Amino acid sequence: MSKTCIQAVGIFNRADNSGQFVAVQPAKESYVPQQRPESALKVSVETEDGRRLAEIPVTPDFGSCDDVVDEGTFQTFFELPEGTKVLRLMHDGQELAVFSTSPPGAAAESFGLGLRRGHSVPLTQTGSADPNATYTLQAREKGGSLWQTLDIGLDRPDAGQVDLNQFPHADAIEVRVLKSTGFDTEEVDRTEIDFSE
Amino acid sequence: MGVFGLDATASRRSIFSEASGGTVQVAGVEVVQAIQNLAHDVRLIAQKRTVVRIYVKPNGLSRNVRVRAEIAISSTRGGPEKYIVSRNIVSLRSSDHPDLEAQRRDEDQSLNIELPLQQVGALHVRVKRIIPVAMGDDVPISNPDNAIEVNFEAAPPLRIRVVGLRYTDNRLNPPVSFAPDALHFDLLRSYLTRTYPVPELEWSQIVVPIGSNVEPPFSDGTPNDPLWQTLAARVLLRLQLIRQADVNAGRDPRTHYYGLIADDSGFFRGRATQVAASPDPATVAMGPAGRSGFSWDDDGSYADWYGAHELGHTLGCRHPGHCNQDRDPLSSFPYENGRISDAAEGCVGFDTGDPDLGLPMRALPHPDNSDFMTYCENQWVSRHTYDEIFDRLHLEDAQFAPANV
Repeated sequence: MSKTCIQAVGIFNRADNSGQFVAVQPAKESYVPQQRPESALKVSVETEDGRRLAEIPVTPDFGSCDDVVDEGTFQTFFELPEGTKVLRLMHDGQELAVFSTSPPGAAAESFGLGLRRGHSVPLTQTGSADPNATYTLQAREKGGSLWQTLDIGLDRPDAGQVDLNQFPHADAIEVRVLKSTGFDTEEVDRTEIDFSE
Repeated sequence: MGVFGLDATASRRSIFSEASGGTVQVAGVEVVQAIQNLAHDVRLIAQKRTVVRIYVKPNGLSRNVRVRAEIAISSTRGGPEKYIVSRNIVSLRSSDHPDLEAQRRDEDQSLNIELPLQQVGALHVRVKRIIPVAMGDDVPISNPDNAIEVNFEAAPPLRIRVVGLRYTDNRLNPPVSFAPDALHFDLLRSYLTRTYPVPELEWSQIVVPIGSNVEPPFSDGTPNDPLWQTLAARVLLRLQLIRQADVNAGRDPRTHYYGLIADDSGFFRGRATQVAASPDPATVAMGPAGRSGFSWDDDGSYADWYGAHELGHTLGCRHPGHCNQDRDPLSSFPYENGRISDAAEGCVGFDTGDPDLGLPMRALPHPDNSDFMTYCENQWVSRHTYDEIFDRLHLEDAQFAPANV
């Protein structure tokens, strides 16, 4: 069974040593370093009952251009040990933030297509949303192989809009919504938009 | 039979020999893609747009003669040759013809020949003819054995996805949404193609919402600018998430992501998440897009050189420390004042131009042009940065190749 890799991103402020997770999502084709530089900032990978499965040193990034930046970002990739339920962002042993995942809810996600406004087609609500998940809107030219991310971090499956101008050579596009609980992602609905109609 | 019974060929011969006489010496041949010196110390990239610049020294001309050049190129010495004529015309002056360095500094003083895209390997270049534009025979070349040999090497493409980030300015009534104009995407694409050591870009672009937690103003105007810090962090994190979602869906993991933000509602200062000390295409960057207010930048957008700078950080390029810029302690940039070369190295930049965007060929002398990793004016690429990016792209290409490659 192949291991799941995770991307965790967030904010760390070195002025007051505060930080938070912004998002966690599964990561294919990611580079997981074998060795990481030591850092006071760490992600503690834990089971539901607080047993530590791994501790990942995280190097925050404070930009590139002569900025006196206190508010930095971090991005880390790691393999997810089996049984992981909780990620804790730690600095010098102090907990800054917690990310936990719940099993996907029993929401019946779906979306409809609203009336086209100019070059934009809004999604409409036809189902429910899982409060423990976020949603990603993707589209591709019909028959194409590469999905393109149009929006991410949505709190509902029907929160996005499809910008038709991003597919100027297409006769039709496919649209799908992915649901992510952080450690898992699945497609929850898909439809097509035919430009000839 | 010619007009009035004259032999036309004989007529051309006599006009040249009587009026002009003299010979021309091939003083130098330079094969250039973005920057080069006469020793060809800067590597040449296979399948990248290439120009041969020919410098000449006329001797004994009785009058000025406007000429083109014809070169012979071959992949082996003595092998089959292809002949190509210069795209421009140069006037050979009977006196005070510009010297070699003056010709190198001015694209109109060299005879410029665009090569067909070259494969990996050697190329022999010989100036075969100097051809008067008007009547007359060729101007004899005093050093017909002027062939040089250069070598073209393989380089990976720059894989890049440029994400235009659409925002809404709620300070306007009614609120107005802004996204970068097509011109900014096009000029960034062109500039990267011209200045980066790559045969091509694997380019894609899209416009997406910037996110509900980012809206103008983009700066609070203070030196430390906590508002900009917060907004920049949000944008960069969003780019990282979009990038990974795309990679999960099959995009090449060697793809760099760059966010482009229209400056209609104010200048959103650019930033990369970090200077990538080791190969890391997951390092993202963003920068503003708009019409340049600099007199030296007259192509209609500053998004091009600005983007080259920020993307340079994602490829490990550091600040050399010139023009109100702090030097990165780890920078090894060698040239004074942030220039693209120095007298010892003797490189001259050369912009091969972009006919699709109306951008002409231009020579870019090192005393007047600065590396795009500085904050100086007249930005181009130095040999140092060219080599840094070349090395980094090679490492990324091997280290991050997708599993199915």
